[in-house]
Amino acid sequence: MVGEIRIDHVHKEFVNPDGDRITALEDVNLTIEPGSFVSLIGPSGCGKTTLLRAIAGLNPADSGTICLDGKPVSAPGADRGYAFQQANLFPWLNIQNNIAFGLKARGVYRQEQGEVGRLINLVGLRGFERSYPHQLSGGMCQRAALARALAGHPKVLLADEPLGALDAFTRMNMQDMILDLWKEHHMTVIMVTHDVDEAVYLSDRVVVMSARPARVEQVIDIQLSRPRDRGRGDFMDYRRQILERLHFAGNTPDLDYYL
Amino acid sequence: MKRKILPFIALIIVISANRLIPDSELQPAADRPYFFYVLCLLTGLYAVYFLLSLAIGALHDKLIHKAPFYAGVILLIGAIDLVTSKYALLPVLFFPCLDRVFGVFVSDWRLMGECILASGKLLLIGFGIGASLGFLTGLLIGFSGKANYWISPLMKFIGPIPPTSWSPLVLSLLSTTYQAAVFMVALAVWFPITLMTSSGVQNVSNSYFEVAATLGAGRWTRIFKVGVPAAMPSVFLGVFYATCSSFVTLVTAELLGADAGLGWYLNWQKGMMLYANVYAGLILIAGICMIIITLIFRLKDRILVWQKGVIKW
Ligand SMILES: Nc1ncnc2c1ncn2[C@@H]1O[C@H](COP(=O)(O)OP(=O)(O)O)[C@@H](O)[C@H]1O
Ligand SMILES: [Mg+2]
Repeated sequence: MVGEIRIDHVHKEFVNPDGDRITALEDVNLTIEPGSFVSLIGPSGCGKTTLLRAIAGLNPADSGTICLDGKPVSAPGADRGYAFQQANLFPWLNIQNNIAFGLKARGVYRQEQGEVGRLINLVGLRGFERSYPHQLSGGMCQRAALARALAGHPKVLLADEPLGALDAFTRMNMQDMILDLWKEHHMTVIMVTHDVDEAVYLSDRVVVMSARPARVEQVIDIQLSRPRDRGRGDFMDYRRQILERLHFAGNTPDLDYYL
Repeated sequence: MKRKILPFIALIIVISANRLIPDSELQPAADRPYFFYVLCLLTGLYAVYFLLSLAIGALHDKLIHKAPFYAGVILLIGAIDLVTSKYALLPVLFFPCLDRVFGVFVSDWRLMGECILASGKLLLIGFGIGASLGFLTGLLIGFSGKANYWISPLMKFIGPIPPTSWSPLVLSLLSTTYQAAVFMVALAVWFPITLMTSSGVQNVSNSYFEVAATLGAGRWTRIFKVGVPAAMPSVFLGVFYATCSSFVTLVTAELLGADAGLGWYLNWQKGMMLYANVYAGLILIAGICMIIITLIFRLKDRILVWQKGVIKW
């Protein structure tokens, strides 16, 4: 198995337009096992996106190292797929070509032609290959964006609240779809979420982060077999444990946590 | 349905006025009632359009929308007929009757055809050079900070100067007036396309470049598969501006000593005080410009299908 992420003493500061320094990440240490499903949860504005972007190489850390399978990451690369908070599909490409973008960019489209069709099936977008993003619903765009991020078989999928903007029903369907994708692709998944329920339902481990500056508050192993039942007592126990931890960290979470 | 009849009513009014009211004695007579022919032609064309619209739904909606406008235009032309031919309210030398204006298309068609070809060639060469250089300059400014630093101020400096005002300089530097005309048309096209391409690229959301980077795209893919297509709507706006300004420049550039072309035609006829011919030339230029712009819009709709419902202009 490949796709181990090791985050060592990572520190990141921003200077906002007023010239104030904002510490977004303070001494973050985390090891993520290859092939595991990990959720990052924490109050809004704490630095979850910053951490994910640092792993992607989109904004490198000020100090500390992030390694993928022992090699430090410095720039974005196709070994780490990234699903952005907004789907960010290229509006000038149809769904088929959006998903094929990475393969074409790296010149491996010919060898991997079947891959695009397979992913389109997996995310349930058969029949919409020729549609443009503006013709699709928000949920369909997110599914296409996930397929695009997975097309090159990345070792790690980084997903920033991919389901954040969706209604509850679509969201639950897509959680199952994400689990299917994960099983099919044998990759490591690091997903940011602000939904405790979602974190418990999906993850092997839930990383609770503190309010800004983000530190790892606690890592909780979810020892439940899949498929998981949201109504069961032990599920509720994990849920309560995470919520308490978030409160304990001095954060009143968004209303979303209770929904 | 009633709205679609309006142009017919307008045509009947205008044709009746044209036939029933005698021409003013002051107006030199035309050899034939050409304006009346034009009205008949318009009636025929509109009748065809009308009949087609009965069968085709999309055409019907479009016609319902446009019918009052057509009727208005027809009435306006009728009013011009009254003011010039019928009552000669304006000096007849400068405002000839419409029969003579439209007669020019019959008497001068061969010369006009040659002029269209000559101008078309000039426009094509100038536009081709200006547009390709403009696109390249725009990409350079848009993607390279260094190019932006050095070229942008130059753009601000050159931009407001009408291309034709370079003529003294250009005429002394280039060996033929034709080259000078090409240069000025190219300059007129280069500026708006450079400006709109560079601003289009600079306004591309950074998130698209980030997506491309995480998908393993290299520098060239990011430029040509992300920056360029994302900037296309803006580039097309530039092409549209460029078309308008290339026409303005073309007509003026041909005054500098060309021996054919639409601008030359206008100037020559004006020199001979043949104002009917001048008006016919103006109508011709307006018509051609309209056709070209319509074609560009069609092309835009085709290339930018993806932005239907995303951006409108
Ligand atoms: N590019 C930036 N410039 C300045 N400040 C930033 C930038 N990106 C993020 N921040 C700040 O860093 C903090 C963490 O942001 P983020 O990682 O987006 O939080 P979240 O946990 O909600 O994803 C926030 O206070 C935010 O204002
Ligand atoms: Mg965020």
